[in-house]
Amino acid sequence: MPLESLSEAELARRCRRGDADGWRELVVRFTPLVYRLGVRMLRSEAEAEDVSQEVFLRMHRSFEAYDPTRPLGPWVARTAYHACLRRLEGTARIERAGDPEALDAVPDAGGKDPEKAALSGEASALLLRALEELPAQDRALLDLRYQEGLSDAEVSEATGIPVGTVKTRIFRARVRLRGWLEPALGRHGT
Amino acid sequence: MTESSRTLEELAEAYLDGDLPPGEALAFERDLASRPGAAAALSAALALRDLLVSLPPLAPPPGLAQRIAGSLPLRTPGKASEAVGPSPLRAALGGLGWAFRGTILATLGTAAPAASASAGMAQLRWALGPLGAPAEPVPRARRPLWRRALFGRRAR
Repeated sequence: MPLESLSEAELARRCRRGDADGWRELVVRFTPLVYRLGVRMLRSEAEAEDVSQEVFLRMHRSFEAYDPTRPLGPWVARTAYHACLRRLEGTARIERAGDPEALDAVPDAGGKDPEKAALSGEASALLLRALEELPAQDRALLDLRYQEGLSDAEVSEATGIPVGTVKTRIFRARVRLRGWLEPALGRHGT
Repeated sequence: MTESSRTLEELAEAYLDGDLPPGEALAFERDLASRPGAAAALSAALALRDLLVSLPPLAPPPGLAQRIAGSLPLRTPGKASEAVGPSPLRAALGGLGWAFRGTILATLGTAAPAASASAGMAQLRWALGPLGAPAEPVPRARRPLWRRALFGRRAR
């Protein structure tokens, strides 16, 4: 059976046995998730690469801690989320509170950032700028919920934050984003 | 939080999340037709969700997964037996076991030499046998023939 078609449970069994091919497949399958979360939380592609490497090494050392009855995605996301948090705490980066006026100070979207440059819509470009104004944890919650498609319960499992708090934080983050993006959203929605 | 204390934006978000109690959800649906701004709030909430979902995914740089996999201490299938050696703790305990056994043998050899050839062989087997091997049953001395003839087989 090709490795790409292995179920998560089978992949986890192979990794638990120390199967090298299983580990390579695990890394290929989950690197995008770990890297994206790293970029969103750390706002640096170089740091996201470093943290991706750290996450898989950490998982390799402690794979016995993984409960094979649970899906792999949230477990990987959890390891990545906490690795990013440790880096943020280690560098004592202070998360700015959201401020609508701060959006004006953010460099124009679509500059050197390829992600922004690739965006065609003004609303999407504004959203990326607005996301940067949110605290790292809120960015991670929104990323896991909407980009990775995890449910509230899985986001809770991935971050260790209670489900109710996850819902509240995502709700507040959306309300805050809407406040900033109101004009663009009005045009986007019509 | 009751409906009256929430803004239209918050109501729209809660409605889309399915977090409004049935009564409040029905009231919000009625508001969509009658309350100014309710429909716009709902469509803006939907638009934000669409935007969040449709952000282009960030792709990791080419080769990152391969570099990460290459940095993991993975065993190649053919060398599995070489890679899995005794752990340092086990090796240390093994050495300690041999040292301990050697001391006992030295003491036995000077203080209590083997009383018979079979006892000597038993000592030798114990000394040379692998550590941790299950102990062999010690053969019980057979009872003399006259005792077996007089008293019969011993009840188990």
